[in-house]
Amino acid sequence: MSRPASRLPLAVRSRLGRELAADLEGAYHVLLARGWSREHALARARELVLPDDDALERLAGVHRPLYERLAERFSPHAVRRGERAAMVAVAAVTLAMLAGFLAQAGIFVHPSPFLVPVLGVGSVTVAAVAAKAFHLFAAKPSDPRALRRGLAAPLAAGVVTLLAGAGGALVDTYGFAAEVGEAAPTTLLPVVVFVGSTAVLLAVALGLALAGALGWFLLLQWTVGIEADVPLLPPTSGPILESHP
Amino acid sequence: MPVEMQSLIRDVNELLVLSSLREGPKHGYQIALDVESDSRGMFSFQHGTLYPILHRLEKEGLLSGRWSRGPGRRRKEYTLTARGRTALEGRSRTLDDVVSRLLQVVRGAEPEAS
Repeated sequence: MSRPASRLPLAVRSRLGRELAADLEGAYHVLLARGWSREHALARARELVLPDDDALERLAGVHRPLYERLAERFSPHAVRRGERAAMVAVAAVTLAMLAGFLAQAGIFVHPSPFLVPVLGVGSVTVAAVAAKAFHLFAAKPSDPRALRRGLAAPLAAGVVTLLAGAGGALVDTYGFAAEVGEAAPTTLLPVVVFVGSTAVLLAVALGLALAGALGWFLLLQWTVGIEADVPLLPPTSGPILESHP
Repeated sequence: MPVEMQSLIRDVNELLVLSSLREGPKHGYQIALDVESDSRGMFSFQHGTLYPILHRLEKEGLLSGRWSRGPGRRRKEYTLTARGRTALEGRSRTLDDVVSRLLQVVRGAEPEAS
């Protein structure tokens, strides 16, 4: 099978195959009825109906799966200004809700020993987002390398936060299992405390990592928006360009 | 409005398909053969180039595809929808305008005052 054909979703490929086979047969019989020889009728029918790689590529473009169309629609280059603003609003509301939940949950009542390191790395994530946002807002850089500098930092810090949270939860679990192995608790309270502190640790790590990923995504949208406004020609390129309207 | 050559070619191909279906429902191969014979061989859909056009127009709701049951194989038949009919009229007018302006440029005639 040709490569473009394999890009067609299987259901579409199957329907298309049936359509082409029927049309090939139909064209062949019409040409025979017009007095063509069998050999020529078959060759002409094949030429008319059977798609080459270019036609298959176009068909694959028409039948792109939904996720591909969505990914293209919400790619940094396709998103409109209003949609960017909506994304920023959604991100702000999400973060505010997360902060509200954490404030109500009383996370420091029985904290995991890893909660403070996770919060530390998480604050680096938030700081990286804030620093890059300030850089884009205040400096308005037009040098492409400067625009992209530090853009991946929130994403990287978010991954480290998530790893720290997952690692901490793992160590906590082993520690608790060892404690239980030495002396089984007589009440359920230590188990509840352990489950609660581990859940809070993972929720905080995941929340901060998501905030980092969201921050990176929004900063990327912002950066692409600035890049789109950078003119093709440099502002001062001599008298010819200066006189051009 | 400026016209891009690539989109003009695409529009012409789509217009040929839409106009071929004006007379009634047809299978893909009938459209290809009719366009070729109606244009006395000037326009021809080779190597399956017709099918991306048919499927795109169907997705846009300008055509509707239906599998017809008959003796032997089931065949897909295309019909012009009401939207397709409107699009055909609109695009025909646009093409008229494009061709007349093209001829104006090619023949070097004075542009008409509008």
